[in-house]
Amino acid sequence: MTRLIPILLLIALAALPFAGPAIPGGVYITRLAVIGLLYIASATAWDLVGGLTGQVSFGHSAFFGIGAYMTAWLVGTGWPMPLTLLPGALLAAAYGALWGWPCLRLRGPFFAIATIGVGEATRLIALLAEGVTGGATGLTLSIGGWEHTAYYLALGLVVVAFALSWLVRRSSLGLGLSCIREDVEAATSIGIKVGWLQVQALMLSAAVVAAAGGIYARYLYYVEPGDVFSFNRGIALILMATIGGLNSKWGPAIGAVIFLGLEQGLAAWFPQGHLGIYGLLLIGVMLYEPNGVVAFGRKLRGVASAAAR
Amino acid sequence: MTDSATLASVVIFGVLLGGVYAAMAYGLGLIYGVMRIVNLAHGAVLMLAAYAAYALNTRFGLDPLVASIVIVPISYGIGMLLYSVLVRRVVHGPPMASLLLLFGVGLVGRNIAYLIWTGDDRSIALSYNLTTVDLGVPVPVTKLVIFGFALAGTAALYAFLHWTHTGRAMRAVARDPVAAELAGLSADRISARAFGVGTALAAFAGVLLSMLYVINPEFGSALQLKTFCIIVLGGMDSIGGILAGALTLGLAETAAGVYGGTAWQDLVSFILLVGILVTRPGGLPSFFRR
Repeated sequence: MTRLIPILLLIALAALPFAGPAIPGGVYITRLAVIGLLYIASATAWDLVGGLTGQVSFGHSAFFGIGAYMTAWLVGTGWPMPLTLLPGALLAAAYGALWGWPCLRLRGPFFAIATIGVGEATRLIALLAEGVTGGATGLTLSIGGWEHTAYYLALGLVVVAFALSWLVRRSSLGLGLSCIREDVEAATSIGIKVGWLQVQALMLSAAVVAAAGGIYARYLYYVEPGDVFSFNRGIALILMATIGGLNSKWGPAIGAVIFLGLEQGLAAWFPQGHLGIYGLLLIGVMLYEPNGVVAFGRKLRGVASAAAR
Repeated sequence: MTDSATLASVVIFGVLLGGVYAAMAYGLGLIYGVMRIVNLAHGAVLMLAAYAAYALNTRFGLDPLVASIVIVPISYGIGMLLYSVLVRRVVHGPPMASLLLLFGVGLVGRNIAYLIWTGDDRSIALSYNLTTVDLGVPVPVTKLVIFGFALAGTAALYAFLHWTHTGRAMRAVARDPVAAELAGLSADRISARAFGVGTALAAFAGVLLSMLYVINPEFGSALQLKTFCIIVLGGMDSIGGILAGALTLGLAETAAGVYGGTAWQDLVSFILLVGILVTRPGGLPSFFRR
């Protein structure tokens, strides 16, 4: 039965744009769902580096921004939109390899600090390169009729992200990455190519996040560095994955849904408080359940089954 | 301006900036040295202390330097409290736990600033702000005074770490926590004090910075990155290392600003940070080694 849940969920999500106009608030829900799906795909992809490899990256906003801009430019030159995602993903993967190769030699906090630097430097460069990115005013895309396509592309990207995460975790790449997470020296000593494996994880993760950026750009008809390259995009991914549960199959996705709900709720009822609430959540998760909601749920289930017995 | 005059001003302003940057970095270095924790709430402490100086200035007309007499001890208390309520529980866990926990603390701090002071830019007006002294090039008195206080802070920290029992205990724990415990020191208690002192140092720097820059809730984020850059640059063997790293960054930024334009000024610290981290992958060497 539990195996059917993902399939049923997928069918329900695929039907949503058709059912949307019929149910009250459906259009709003559909719009929200696009963002939610992009969050789910990005968080799942981020977890390949942040969870599976154990290298927390604050710099994934760079990939999101690259994907968004690639789509904006190529759509401007007349490319069909779905095809623009591929060059964006490739460019982001190449960018990831470029800084990942040297930076991934660093461990833990030092890698995290380096990615803060990379993310912020990328944003600043994008802001300065006005001729290419439109500077602070950004670029506007042609308007019209992309909502459905964007929705199904986002849904497709979620499937791709899950498949990727599943395949990586089952492959020797995933095993190698787990080994690197647990003990780098031991991994090196048994002949695991520590550098190359981590770069692969970062490239895959970058490609998915960039595709999410591209869909986001087409969906919003507008890109600007302050939005798509913003530091907060990188932080959001960290929050989603840690709240949901690092290095788990469903954790990042569950975290993404929780984050989306929080974001919407806070925007409506307590817009001045979103940073603080995220901060408190992060503190709470780190103090009480470093493995996130997924681990908490597992514990609850354990308690429930023990009580039933 | 002639070339030599330009160079002179780059050196003077670079050194002055470096002095403040050094004061800004000691707190992060001390906490890392004793606990091996990267304090991602550092920027928020800088920012909140700057706001505290602003508030005391507008409400009571206190000079920020006078206000620091109040702000620094309170920050020490807040640091101790943060350690004993939160940090203590993750200090022996995986490094990411403390990193993300303190990042959460930083977010809460930024939010507090937004709630109290909104996102608007604030600045402190000082009577001596416009006075300058001629050192070949006109130099604002404010910058000289701040530089003096930064150096005084450096001297005080040196004295504390070398000539007081607590300071020496901190160095002992930094060098070898197990040996320190065997010698009868409580690493936990020393860590709490080190977190307090680190927070107080950051607050002191925040007060100095409030006199130089416009204050807003995002004020700490860029400075935190610069702090990392200094810590990484300096090689962190000692206070001298931090001082050297801070002077390097101060000079590099000033030179980039004068010769390349303000855009470059912001990029310098990022380029240095990533460049040094990558070419010296040992990361932050210990604050106190040797």
